[in-house]
Amino acid sequence: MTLDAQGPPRGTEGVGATNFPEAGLYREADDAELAKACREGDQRACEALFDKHQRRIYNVALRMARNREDARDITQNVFTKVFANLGSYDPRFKFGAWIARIALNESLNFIQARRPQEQVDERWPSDERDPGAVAGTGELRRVLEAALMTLSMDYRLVVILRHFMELTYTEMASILEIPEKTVKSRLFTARQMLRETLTRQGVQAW
Amino acid sequence: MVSGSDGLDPRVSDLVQREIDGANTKTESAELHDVVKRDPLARRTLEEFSGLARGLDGLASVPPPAEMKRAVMREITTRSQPKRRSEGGILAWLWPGRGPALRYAWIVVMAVGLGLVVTYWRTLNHIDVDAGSVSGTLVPAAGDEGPTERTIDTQGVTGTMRTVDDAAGFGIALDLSGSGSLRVVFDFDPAVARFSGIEGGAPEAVQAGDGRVRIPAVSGRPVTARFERLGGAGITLGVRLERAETVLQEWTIKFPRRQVQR
Repeated sequence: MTLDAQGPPRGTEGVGATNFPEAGLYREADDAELAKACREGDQRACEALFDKHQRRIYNVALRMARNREDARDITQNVFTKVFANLGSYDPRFKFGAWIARIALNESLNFIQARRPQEQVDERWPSDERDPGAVAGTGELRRVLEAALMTLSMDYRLVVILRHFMELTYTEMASILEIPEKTVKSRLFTARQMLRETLTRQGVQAW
Repeated sequence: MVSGSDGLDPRVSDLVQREIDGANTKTESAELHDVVKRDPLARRTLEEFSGLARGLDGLASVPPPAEMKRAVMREITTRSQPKRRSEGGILAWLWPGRGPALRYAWIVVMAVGLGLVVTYWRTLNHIDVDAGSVSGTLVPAAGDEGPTERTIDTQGVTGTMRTVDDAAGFGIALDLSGSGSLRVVFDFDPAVARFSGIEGGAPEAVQAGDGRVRIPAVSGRPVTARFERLGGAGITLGVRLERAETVLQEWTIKFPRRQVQR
């Protein structure tokens, strides 16, 4: 993959003007400001962008690839592409939607290129628990996680984009290149299926 | 509007879904809560889907591996480092510290060398294309004989399409101009080849599926779609130029057998 004309952020100390002299300001800055500063060579802005989005992207990749090592590789590739192509990011649009599109394409390409014998980590998600999970929600989480992975890719995608990336119907429609009404319909059907699975297993989400 | 569930009015069902997605207007929200007050089924549905949505939101909390940040930051820093030059820099190498006579001789040698390189380069890249003689099937030259290029001029789309086939894989380089939403669709047998990415263009907009890749063709943004051989067999690549859902032109491109380097 070639880099865009502006190339990657330079990343060297003191290169490029920064508007975030205090560490706290990096955390508070919006994505468009961080992207601009990162493009201009502000390494800390790049790190702040990474910190802000890495968990979501990793979780998207994890539910797409169903394998922690692949999810890590996908996430690394996504951020490498993000930083290399910041010049093509249009700040009029939400950064989260832009990075979600890259993550989605990267995940789909990765899955397609994966050899059959490398398909999935069968232990996922049963032995993978978030240590920060709230006590008492463990059962719901386990069942919901397993139910999500049984959805076909079309349905799983809309759930992931909506609940992990917090995208709107319009943003999802643009990324998936389907009408908004199809997005809503798939999301509703996916939720119905998940609700039915929870009910069948006697788990309440409410 | 989504269809209703559990006997719920489709309008209310739609409002419930939009409510948990934060898509309702204030008026719609008020309308839903009014219904919920009166209708136990609507209330239960809203509670169930709200709980489900909270559960799904909570799934995105698996922490990524700690070493990932270091790897990514190292990668972008490495890419951004200026290349080191040997001591004295490239000028010292081009301009050795000798007497004036040797320096003039050195200039002549460098000029002749540069001329040879330029001539060789032009020979490699100059190809006469007779667009009229190409119809439907484009067979690229084998191995090191260089790329094959054809001119595209169809239904308001102009530009060039060139095959590439080298140690890095095979593919198609496109430089197109035209109005409307143009895209190029590649079809191939996934058993013998796989898509490896694009150079240039808009990487975030690539759609890759099983044996099919769609890339947008943006005026003024040349793009090369790259593929990798999964074996030594010859490959047939279907290429289709589309505007919206209309096929403007299509080609079948055959890439010859080639030794796969691992």
